[in-house]
Amino acid sequence: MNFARLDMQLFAAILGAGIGVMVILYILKVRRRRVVVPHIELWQFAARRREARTLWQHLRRFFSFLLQAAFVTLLAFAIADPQRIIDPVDARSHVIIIDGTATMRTRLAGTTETRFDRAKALARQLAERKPSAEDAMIVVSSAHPTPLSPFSRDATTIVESISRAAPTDVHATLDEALRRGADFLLNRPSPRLTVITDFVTPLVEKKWRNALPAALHFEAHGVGERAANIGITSLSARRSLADPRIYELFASLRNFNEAETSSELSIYAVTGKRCASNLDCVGAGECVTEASLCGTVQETTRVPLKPGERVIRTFTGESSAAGRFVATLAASPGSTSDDFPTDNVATATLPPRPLTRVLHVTNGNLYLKGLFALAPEQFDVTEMTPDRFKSKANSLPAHDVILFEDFVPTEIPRVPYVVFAPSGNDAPFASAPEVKLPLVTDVSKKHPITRWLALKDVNIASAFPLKPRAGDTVLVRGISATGGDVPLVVARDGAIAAPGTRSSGGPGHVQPRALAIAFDVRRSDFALRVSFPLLIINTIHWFQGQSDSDTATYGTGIAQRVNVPRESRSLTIETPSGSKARTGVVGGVASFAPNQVGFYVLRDGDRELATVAANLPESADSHFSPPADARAATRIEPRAKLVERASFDIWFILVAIALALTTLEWVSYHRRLTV
Amino acid sequence: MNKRLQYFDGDFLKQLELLHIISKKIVVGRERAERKAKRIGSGVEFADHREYVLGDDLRYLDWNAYGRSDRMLLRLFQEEEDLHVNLIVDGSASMAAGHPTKFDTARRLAAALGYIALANLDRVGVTCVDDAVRARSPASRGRSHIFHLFDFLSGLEPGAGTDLATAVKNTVHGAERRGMAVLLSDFFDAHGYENAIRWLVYRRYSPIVIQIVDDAPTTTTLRGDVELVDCESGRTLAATLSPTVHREYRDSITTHEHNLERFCTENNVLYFRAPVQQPFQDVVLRLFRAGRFLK
Repeated sequence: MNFARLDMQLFAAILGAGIGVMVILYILKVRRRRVVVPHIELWQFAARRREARTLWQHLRRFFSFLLQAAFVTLLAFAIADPQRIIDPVDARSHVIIIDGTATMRTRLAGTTETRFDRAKALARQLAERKPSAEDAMIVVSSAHPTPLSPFSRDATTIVESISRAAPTDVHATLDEALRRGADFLLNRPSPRLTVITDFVTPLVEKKWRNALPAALHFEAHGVGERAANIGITSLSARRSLADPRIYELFASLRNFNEAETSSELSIYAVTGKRCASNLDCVGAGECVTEASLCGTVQETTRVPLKPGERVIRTFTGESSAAGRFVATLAASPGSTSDDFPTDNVATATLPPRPLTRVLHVTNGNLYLKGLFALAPEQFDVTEMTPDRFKSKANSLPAHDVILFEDFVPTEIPRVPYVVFAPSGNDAPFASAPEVKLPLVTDVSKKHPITRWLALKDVNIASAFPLKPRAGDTVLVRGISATGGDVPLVVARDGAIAAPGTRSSGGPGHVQPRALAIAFDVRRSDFALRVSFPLLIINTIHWFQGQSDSDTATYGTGIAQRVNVPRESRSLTIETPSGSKARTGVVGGVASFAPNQVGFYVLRDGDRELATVAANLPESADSHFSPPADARAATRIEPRAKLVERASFDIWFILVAIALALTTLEWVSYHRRLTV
Repeated sequence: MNKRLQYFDGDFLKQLELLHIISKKIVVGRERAERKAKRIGSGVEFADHREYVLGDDLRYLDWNAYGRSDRMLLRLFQEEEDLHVNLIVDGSASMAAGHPTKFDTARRLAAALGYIALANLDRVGVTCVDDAVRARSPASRGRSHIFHLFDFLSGLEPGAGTDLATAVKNTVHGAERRGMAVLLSDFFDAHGYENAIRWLVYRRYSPIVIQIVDDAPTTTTLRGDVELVDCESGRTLAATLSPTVHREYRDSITTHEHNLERFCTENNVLYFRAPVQQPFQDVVLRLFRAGRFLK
């Protein structure tokens, strides 16, 4: 045993002084109170009987002295704060991972407490009862694990770090946190890893058993039970292809409960003005408290939902100036309660309407001409013949995208381009000899250009099968009459073009994105399909970096890339809660990972560059729905075991014994046993 | 305030008058000065015969008896006289204890008994004693002397130590006539109370002992280490007061009282216990009922 607060000499001095003072006080003759009595002989008679037990009297006084000596000694030890000398074998290391993902915001039935609150309480309990020889660390897991404290043996430090923990709106697995926790415990004595979670993301114990070091003691504690939930699983907005002034809003709702419920869905067009109440929104509508933004209601509709049913609602209206929408969902009175409020709010922004300057090199294509005429606000088309293009190669009008038709360039352009029916090996896209009547067999559903395209039964008179280079992506694949493979549409990744800017050329510049279509659309019925304008528009948006042009929302917890002007080097990101953070820009792309539902505003100084709507990601149906009984999802160590592990500081025990002794002395004194 | 009024106010006098009426009912048909003294003297009521001795007054010779028995017998008559009531009040320091003090209770009792006796035309004398005779009020007769008696009692204060034997001896030594002696004291006497009572018996007084006691002493609530100081002798005793010690002290008090009562019984002396917490009328009535004070 050693002393945490005093060295041995100081301890001995304090103990000696305490005992010395006590002995002096015992030796000192206390002046007795004088009481005048009549006829002292009668008192003498009573006192004589007491004096007959003088030996016992002395013993009792000595017993009192011993009690006091023990009291002083215990207090001296308590002040010195004795600690058990920790054998390296006894030293322990403990990483406590608190699940900070979105579902931990779920309220516990019948309380205002959330699962995360319960998890913090449990972590606090673990920290307070940990053995004194244990180094502990708290990690909160969301998109990425975040250590809240270094390894510490001081329970107060650990508890204080727990109080700083906060949940996020991110849905993520605990994999990375577990891996990081195991890393933290590498080469540490008696490693122990504890996870406190609601098991919405199942922990596959066997998997982790194999991945974690054999010596690692792993345990999981469950918080939360079955919860009722209805939510907005996705919300996206786009401009109408027919009339860009009209917005189209798609909301997907789902009832995760086993009972039919009714809910009210409201759509708000919001501004960037923050608010706490309607008083803050005078002249700007009402305060949408779920998003803390001022806005005006656009639609309110009641949506009945059967058990497990998914419902999609679409809304149209005139585009608001701000182009920001907030959807809120509330369970109708009398319906099943909703314990998970995070997915009752979703946000969306209308994609910007940049004017794209298109240079169309062609001898005439009414189909493409008609397509661009549909959206004059988006496209500024300059049409020129191949001959004119060649003659004015050095004095071309400003353009963002080039469409080559009836012409195959020999040099790779500096801006993204589309080339139709390239032939020969010298073209940017090499091709094989012409084949007749190829049939479309495969369309890539992953690429943003062809994700929503239907090319079934497209008739193509002839095509030049493309020879994709390494890195090229075949988006549409066909088969020739002879059975040969015919790549019909190939995309080549490269530099994107921000609208309104021009790619800087020069030696060493990155080649632009490009698309090759292996056939002449005029010699197929593809130009008559709905897919044709979609392909062209998707391609132009892809060239501009808008990979998902109809969905201007981002998933929380997922790293996002936002195109910004190339000249920007550092941006300020304003989060939905109003806090600000900085992020770098590389190649005109800013990257960040939203962790709250709401609008993220990217600014370069005072100039607003982009507004991004972040929502809970819809990647699996079960994300928002916890298991039927989270506690039963894995083994949970009984609470009693926690108590077994609990330990108290020795000084506390010493003080308790001292108090017990002084109580005993008090009782014995007042019962005249020790006087 | 007048000291007499302080101790013997109007209410007290009313209570005395009531006691007097009660005393009259108890002794029915008594007339004034009808108490018979034991002394044989010149009264009119025949008492006895005795042999004639030389020098006797021949007027009292019973000639009829001489004619019948040829013996010279002298006729004796019981002398009628008023009774002497001696009230002896202990004025030692120990009588200052109690609430009210034992001394006040003794004074009230003495005043009550004196009032009754004077009302019955007896002679009443009061003596205050401690370790000697401290003050004395000569025996006097008649109701008019009651206020002299009150003034005397009011002027007394408890003082020095106790030596009842010496004090009583001195008291009876100077007394002109014997009679009834009422001794009011707590009998806390380091020298012993026995000789004092014996002196009264020996000198043929009719002693009545009234022990003034305090049934609720304030010291019972005291606890812990104390130094007890005797109020009379100044002797000290270091003691640790506990419930046990207090219990043993109470036992000592009880033993002391029982010893006194037994001693009085053995010597044919009336004994009364008078707690200070009890109204003095109760003690007086008990005294009346005992039958010796009123004759």
